[in-house]
Amino acid sequence: MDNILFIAFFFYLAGAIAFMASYWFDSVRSMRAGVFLLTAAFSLQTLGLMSRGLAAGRLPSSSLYEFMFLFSWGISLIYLLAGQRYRFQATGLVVAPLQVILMAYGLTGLQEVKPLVPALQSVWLQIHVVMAISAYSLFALSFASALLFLFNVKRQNKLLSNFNPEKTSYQAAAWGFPFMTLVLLTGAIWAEQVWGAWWTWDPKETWALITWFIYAIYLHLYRGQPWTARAKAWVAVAGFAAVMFTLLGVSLLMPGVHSYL
Amino acid sequence: MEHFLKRFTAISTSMLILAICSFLLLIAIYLPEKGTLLVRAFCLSLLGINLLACILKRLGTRNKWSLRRIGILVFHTGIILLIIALLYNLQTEKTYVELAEDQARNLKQMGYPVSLKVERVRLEFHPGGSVKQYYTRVSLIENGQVLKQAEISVNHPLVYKGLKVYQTAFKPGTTGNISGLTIKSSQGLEIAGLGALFLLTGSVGLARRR
Repeated sequence: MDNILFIAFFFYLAGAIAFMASYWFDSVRSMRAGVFLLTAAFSLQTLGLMSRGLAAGRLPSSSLYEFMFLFSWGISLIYLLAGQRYRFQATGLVVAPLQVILMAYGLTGLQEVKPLVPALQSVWLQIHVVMAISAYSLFALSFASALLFLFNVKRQNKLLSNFNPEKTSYQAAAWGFPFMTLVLLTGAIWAEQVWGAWWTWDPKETWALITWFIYAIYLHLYRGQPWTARAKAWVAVAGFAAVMFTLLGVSLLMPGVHSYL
Repeated sequence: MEHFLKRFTAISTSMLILAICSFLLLIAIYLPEKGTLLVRAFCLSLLGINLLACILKRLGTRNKWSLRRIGILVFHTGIILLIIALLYNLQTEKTYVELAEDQARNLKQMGYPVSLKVERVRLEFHPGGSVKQYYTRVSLIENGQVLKQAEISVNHPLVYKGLKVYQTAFKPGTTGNISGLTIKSSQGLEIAGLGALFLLTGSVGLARRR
């Protein structure tokens, strides 16, 4: 069944290329093709992840490979759900290549289905992961909108003219923030159950807290003093950089209790 | 003084403090132990004091009370509670003991008038042969009387009054299996739990449109 996930990966790759082409050639048709390819990829990915989850009898989220595919699935879900309502489609320009990179990195990990070690057998951990996927996917959309905004200033593009990147970036982050709060809380509950230490200041925890801080700053920039839209967009970009570092950089550079992922 | 307070409780000041604390907390990972503790205590105190000042300042204004405003108040109070819990948490101690089957340890010097006895240690395996779970049947004994008996495992600690016992490690021994147990007090957890509850309920109010 893993072949399905591999095929989905190529659909994402094709989708990313279609989105790039739509930007370079300013082509609405190419963007529609991109959305179609992403939808197809998402459907295949749903099938692949479901069969994997059923085979293992748990959420497919306990290795780098599984987490990356689940993460990109989450991004697609939110992209497609919100796409119609907020005219989010243009964000595919950033989102699709991002998903390709995430999955390509996931493919470098072990792909076999392994039983869980005792520490990972917890309901709280599963909730923790679901919350993380939700928060990070929303932050990815916020990042995509902010990046498009930063680009749009330089180049007026027909594709970007019909959506409000500043507003969507804020809204996605505002939705993501409570989920990020839940990531920290459920993580703390699980840590208390498994180690007897709800907060240990391990590098991953510290970085997750800092990610939460950056998004708190971002949301507060919209109240009080007038900040330029560009400054706000850069904070949204910094927030997602912190997300990626929390997720990948910490595991690569700073070993700690989160060595499972 | 009034001018300083006005500046101190401005959103931009709070955000600056938040940014500086983010940076300091990152550096703290690489400092020697004492420095780490000091930096964390400093950041937490600064954030807590600033947040408290902001809350009191905004309580004083005559704005209309809405569900959103209550949500914001509850949410930020929750953060203060968690900061207090984190400050308390900076110095809580855990004890690790290794006990073989039928061995007991008196916890008197830890402040508990009980002794912890390991009755039986066992393992459960996955079909593939890897370990599924470690189990230890433990008893808490006071003056020869069993107060509580339970089988603990990873993710399922024993909780008795202010005491928590965790399954941490496992070693096969010559006379019987040896279980590695972590013992700690559950003090301070109530504040953290209350803080978490405040964050959750506050979020609901925050979701209301301005």
